[in-house]
Amino acid sequence: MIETQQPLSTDKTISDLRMSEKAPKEMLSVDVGGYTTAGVKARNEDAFAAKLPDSAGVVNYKGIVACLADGVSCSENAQQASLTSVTQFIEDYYSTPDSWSVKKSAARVLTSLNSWLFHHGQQGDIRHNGLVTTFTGVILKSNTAHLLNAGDSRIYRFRSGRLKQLTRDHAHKQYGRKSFLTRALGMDSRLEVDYHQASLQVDDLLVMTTDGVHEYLNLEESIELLSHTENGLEATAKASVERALANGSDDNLSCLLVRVKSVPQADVNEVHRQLTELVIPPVMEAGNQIDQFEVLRVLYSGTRSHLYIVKDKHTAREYVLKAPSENFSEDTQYLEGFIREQWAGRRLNSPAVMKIYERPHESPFLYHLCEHIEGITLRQWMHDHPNPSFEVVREMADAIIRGVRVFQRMGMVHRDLKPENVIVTAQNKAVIIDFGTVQVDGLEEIANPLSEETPVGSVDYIAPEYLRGEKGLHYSDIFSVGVMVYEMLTGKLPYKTSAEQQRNPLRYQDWHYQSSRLHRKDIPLWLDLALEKACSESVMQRYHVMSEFLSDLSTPNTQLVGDRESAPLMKRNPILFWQWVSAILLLVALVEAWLLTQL
Amino acid sequence: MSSADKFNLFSFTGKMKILHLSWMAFFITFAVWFNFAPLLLAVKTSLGLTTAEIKTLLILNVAFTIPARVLIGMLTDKYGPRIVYSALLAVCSIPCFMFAVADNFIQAAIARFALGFIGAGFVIGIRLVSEWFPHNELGTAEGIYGGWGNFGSAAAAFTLPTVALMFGGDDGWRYAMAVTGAMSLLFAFVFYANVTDTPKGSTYFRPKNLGAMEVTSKGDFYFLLLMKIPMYAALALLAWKLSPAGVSMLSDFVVNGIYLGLTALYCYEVSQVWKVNKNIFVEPVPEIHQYKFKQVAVLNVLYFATFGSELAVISMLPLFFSDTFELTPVMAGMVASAYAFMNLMSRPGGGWLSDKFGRKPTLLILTAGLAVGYFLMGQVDSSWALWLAVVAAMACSFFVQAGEGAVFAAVPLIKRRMTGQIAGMTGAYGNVGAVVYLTVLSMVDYSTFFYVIAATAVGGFITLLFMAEPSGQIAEVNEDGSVELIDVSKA
Repeated sequence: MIETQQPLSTDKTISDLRMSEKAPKEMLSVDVGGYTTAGVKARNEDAFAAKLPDSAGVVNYKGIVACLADGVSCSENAQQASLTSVTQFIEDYYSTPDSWSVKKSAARVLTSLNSWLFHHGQQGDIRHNGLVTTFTGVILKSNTAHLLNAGDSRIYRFRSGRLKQLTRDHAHKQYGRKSFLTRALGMDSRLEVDYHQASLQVDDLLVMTTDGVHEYLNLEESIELLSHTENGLEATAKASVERALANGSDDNLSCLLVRVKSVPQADVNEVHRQLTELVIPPVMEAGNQIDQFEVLRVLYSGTRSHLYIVKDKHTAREYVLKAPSENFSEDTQYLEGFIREQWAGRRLNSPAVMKIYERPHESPFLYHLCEHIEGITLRQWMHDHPNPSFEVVREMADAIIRGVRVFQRMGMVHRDLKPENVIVTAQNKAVIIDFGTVQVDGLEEIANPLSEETPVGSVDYIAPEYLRGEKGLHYSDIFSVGVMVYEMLTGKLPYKTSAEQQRNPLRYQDWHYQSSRLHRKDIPLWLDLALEKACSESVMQRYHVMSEFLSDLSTPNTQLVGDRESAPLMKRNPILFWQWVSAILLLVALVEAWLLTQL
Repeated sequence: MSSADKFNLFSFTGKMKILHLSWMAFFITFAVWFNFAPLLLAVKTSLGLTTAEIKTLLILNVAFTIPARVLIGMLTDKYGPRIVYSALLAVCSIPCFMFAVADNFIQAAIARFALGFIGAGFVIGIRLVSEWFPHNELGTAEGIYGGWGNFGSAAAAFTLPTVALMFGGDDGWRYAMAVTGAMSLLFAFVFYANVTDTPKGSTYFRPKNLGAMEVTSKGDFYFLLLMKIPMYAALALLAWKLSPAGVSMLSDFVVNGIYLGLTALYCYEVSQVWKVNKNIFVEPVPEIHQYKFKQVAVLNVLYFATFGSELAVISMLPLFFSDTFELTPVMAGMVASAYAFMNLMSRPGGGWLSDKFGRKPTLLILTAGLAVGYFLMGQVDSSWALWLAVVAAMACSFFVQAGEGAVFAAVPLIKRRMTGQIAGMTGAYGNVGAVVYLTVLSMVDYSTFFYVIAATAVGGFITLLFMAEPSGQIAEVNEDGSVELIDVSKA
């Protein structure tokens, strides 16, 4: 059931951007071979499958999948359960967005697979007809193996003569011979799957077996069998299965082997060469022409980028052309971000997010073609609407969050949300622009020799955790949204940042939230508490979902208010607290001094 | 999306306001820094100084700038241009007032030495302007900043003798100097109130500054250490000048202490350079980050000859004219200002020329012109007509200042990522040049002084032959308005 045993093709799919070609010369490639047999049983209820995608881009973003399932024998549909699981898992896994992390993609697919199996199993009259199967999968992406396991099938890693079990069995051993599965696909409406990662090296051999095999082979036998792969992996798998059978296995037997032939090499020079392959266009004026586009007017010219309104001469369509500034011609962090912006933009499709269109493939220049959004920046909007009503701010917050959610759903963190990057249209819709700093879960998993040396967001809107050098989470975008809502209401910022702090991010030590009620008297306590929670310096105390923030913006969150009212003075007003403490201590000192003089 | 602001010199909003305020600040620092030269004769008689002491004061004026540049660079990294420029203007008004009320040589010497600090203002504005102007306008903006600011010395030479006369009396020069100090103090507040470090809303984090220059090969590592020596040597030269072997301002003990201190500082700098660069001994630097340090060294030498000679010449020119042609102080100041007047045009002009004709050819021609110009200046004596001498000075200054412009036009092309550091080191070499030339002046007569500069210019011309033409843009806009790639080998 292995779909293709061919080594990965070197097929030159020119995808919509160069990034897919960014895959280093040496890319991930594997050999796969497996064998399964019913053994002494009448039916084979095991199933395995692997997919080696043809396109280099797919291998780069989604990886290579191999999985193995062992249908649980007590059910009549065991074969259907195992077979469906492996084939459906592979098919669905490759349909998830490229931007999702392996973990998220696999979890989504397994969750829906589990519900399907569980509900179909429930539909049968007899409980015994449930569709239940173990599931063991490995997804190889970049230089990492992502391992998934539910049940008692196993994954081992055979590396330089040593065999190591990577998964943990979910089975309960009874005093008798048989053990009972504690976890499996289709067993319950809720599924817990073990997930962890292991690093990959060239020549690693991943061994996936069902209990019919590993229960009947001891360590020495296994090592001896796995050491002989000269006749191909399938022969090795078959030999292992036959030995287990000879050792008295009374179950179905399956063995699936995956050998790592090469892993991507993170070669800095190669990555730099690819990043600088496209030429940064010179600064243009109205009337200039680049590729098939004519510059109609200059929209913006800054130290980081240049924006032009251009017209396609072939289609007469107008776009915004965004080109990087020559200032960054050697800044690989910026260039990578710029190229990633195109990658992410091509995958986002929502009216709340600026569209990025396909660029001419043959163009030697580095630029994006974006949708031209008529409107003003949120910064301008704030200038135009000082002291807006709460209702208006709520609507605006809702509109911004709509856009942020689009990123969240795709496994992306924007990381540079600020009033300059939100366009408010005439219909009061908010559109998020400029995602050169976007962080994509799916891309983070690809080995990359470049590392971000400087925090990427903007001063005042960047979440504190970035400044401590931590990775961005969706909560980090919530911080920026919180700051924007605070600023819309008050025209001020919740935290004071000094010039020194801006230059030395690590010097951010004191984050003192300044109550919005200091700036605007009519803001009720509950609203300020919601803002404080959204802008909280600590990730733990911040909102974890945006809907909660939205809801707390319109209806008082009684719990927050209650907590605040019952909080000790030290928490509510630390300055007042310490003033009192000092005053009391002073009094004590004075009294003591007086007493001493009386002696 | 905000609309694009035009580069309009007559505008006083947004980025143009920043540019105008920056060059004004730089203009004032230059006026304060060089308020001494045109008033030299008055100071000399008023304090009863010898010519040797006057020449020592001239050297003191430019010496402190060498270490101050490093300090100011670090402070700007830390606190931002707005605070640092304001503070510099305010703080440096103190030594200016001190000099204005000085009673003897020692007081004047200390005040002059401290005033060297104000010469480091250049770096701050360069940083500020680069935060506000897009790539394509940066060259022009920095040319205006540098050129118009440098004009401050001409303005000082032109006006201060007259101002001194207006106040009248023996102490007229004191009031004239105090006026520049007051301007500096006042402008500190103007600057602070009107400038922001970055355009609103687009404050991004900058990579941390490494504290020492990066090099990308082992040979360059030693080359860099070698090129750092002259900066310390210049200060040692000054110490020697002040020692009993020179004007006996400092005792042998103190001078030896200074030598020791400079050696220790150099060792510290070596350790910094090692810290930043030790990686090159372990693994090669990625190609994209590689560059040749000799390019920097050549520009340093050229700036030594151009900016160094400019600082030296504007310090001594009023004296030269009054000595040679027996002019009144006012007349001498005005005539001498002709030299610095050219700044308005020639510095930006040098940048323009090198854009047009390539960096290396422009630099070669300008350096050759420089050598000829100073040779000509060496020929000037009382037998010349005054107007001819002025024309010679102006011609010479054109080559000097255009050369400065051309040097700074080449700086960003060496390694964009390190522009700041390369510019800093090049600028420091300008000050080293000034110290060296002024020390030479204190030992020889005027015409030998000019010949020495001419000789170093010839030296600069020779080192220039080792420079590779920096690669420029790889894409450009054609005459018909279409953007195309250029064959780099051709350019």
